[in-house]
Amino acid sequence: MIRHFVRPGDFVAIILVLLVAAGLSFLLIPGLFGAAGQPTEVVVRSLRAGAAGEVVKSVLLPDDTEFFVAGETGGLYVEVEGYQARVFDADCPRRLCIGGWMDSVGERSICAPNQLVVELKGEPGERDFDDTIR
Amino acid sequence: MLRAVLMIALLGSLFWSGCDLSSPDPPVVKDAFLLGTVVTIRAHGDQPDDELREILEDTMTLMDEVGSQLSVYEPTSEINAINREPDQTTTVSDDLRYCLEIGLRIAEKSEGAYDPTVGPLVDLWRFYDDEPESPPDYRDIQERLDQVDYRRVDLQNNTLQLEAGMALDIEAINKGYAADQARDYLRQQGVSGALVSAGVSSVAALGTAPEGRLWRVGLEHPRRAGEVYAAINLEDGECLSTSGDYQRYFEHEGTRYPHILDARTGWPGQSFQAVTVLADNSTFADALSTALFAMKPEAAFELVEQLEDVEAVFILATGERTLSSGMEERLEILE
Repeated sequence: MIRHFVRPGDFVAIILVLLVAAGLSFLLIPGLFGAAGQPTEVVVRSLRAGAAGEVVKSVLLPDDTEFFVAGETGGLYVEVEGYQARVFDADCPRRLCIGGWMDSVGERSICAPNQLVVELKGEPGERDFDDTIR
Repeated sequence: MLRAVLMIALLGSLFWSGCDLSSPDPPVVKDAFLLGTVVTIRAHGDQPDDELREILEDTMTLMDEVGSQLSVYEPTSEINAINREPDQTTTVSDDLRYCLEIGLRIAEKSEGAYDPTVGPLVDLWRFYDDEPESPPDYRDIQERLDQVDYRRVDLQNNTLQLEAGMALDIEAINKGYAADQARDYLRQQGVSGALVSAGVSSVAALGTAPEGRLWRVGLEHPRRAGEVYAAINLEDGECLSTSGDYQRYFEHEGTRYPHILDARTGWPGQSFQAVTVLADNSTFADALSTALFAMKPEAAFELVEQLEDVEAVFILATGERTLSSGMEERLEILE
């Protein structure tokens, strides 16, 4: 039946169509070929009353910078290096938010007293986390 | 003409199938500061994102209401009303009855290491006010121990009576209960998948992540903040709860005093850096991780092995790691 509709020369066209579709997928669907798992942004959100998760600071990655974000008990000092970030100082009573480098999509540091969340955004990779617990 | 149509159809189908190969929409994330900590819910479903956000907003309100009425830090809570007149017979809410039933069950299993009547001791240590500089006087602890005993809780259905001087404190489990309530509510609302994180130490899974894969949770090392040492993929309905010595503690003369008390001795548990429990109920997981943390290692290992559908990761005070028998196949060590 298919012979009635598709001539031998059409197979060349079909292969061309396949190549074009693959090219379009590559260009239009970021993350399909390789970007998954690499953080693309550091985002700081405020959870204070009325802010409801509002982004108060964001830095596109890669970058090398330090910044301060004001919070309820003072604020947080964040360092960014390449595709990773960390809270390196904080104005809060117990300073539990100060920690090592975060380098996976979904990793985050929570400062409850300051009501701030620092997190790495991006296309999750297979080994990234939806959340962390401690 | 027919061939042109076929080509366009083929191109279109290939393009759209390419789109299907991409990751689906990420979950809607909502977080809020409530119950004295940060609560985060990730959710996805067939609903439009706006509708999902409204559902998550309602879920947060529910968690706040439930958690607050069970908290000793909320002056108008049900718990505080009971603690003001403990020897009076009181009809309690279904929420409190359920939490007490779980708490009393774990108290019995742990032979009192966890005890929902630990209130008088918590008041004495004052971990939640300011960071204490030294432990309380030994005699004061002994005195308060007389007011702590889960076996003197009279709970018949929703009717509760304690004895004079006793006080309930279920702070160790009320966030877990709020997470259970949130998950049930999300399921009722037709949400396909959600991960409810109540504070940084309790997480409950509903369904799967958007791609149909299991929700993946990283376990942070108790001594290396921000460093994830292991990961667990959670099945639908599973929960994780961690009790550790690093969230609230003080040091005095070279000794670390974590905030989790062994209700039998009145002193903080000091055998572990962290205990993480995997179970199918967040209230239960919270109570059990608290109990295990307060216990001695051998007794804690034995208790987990006795319980069905419960696994645990223990990081001892020495830094050594021990897994329950079924946890070995669930935990992916990353270091």
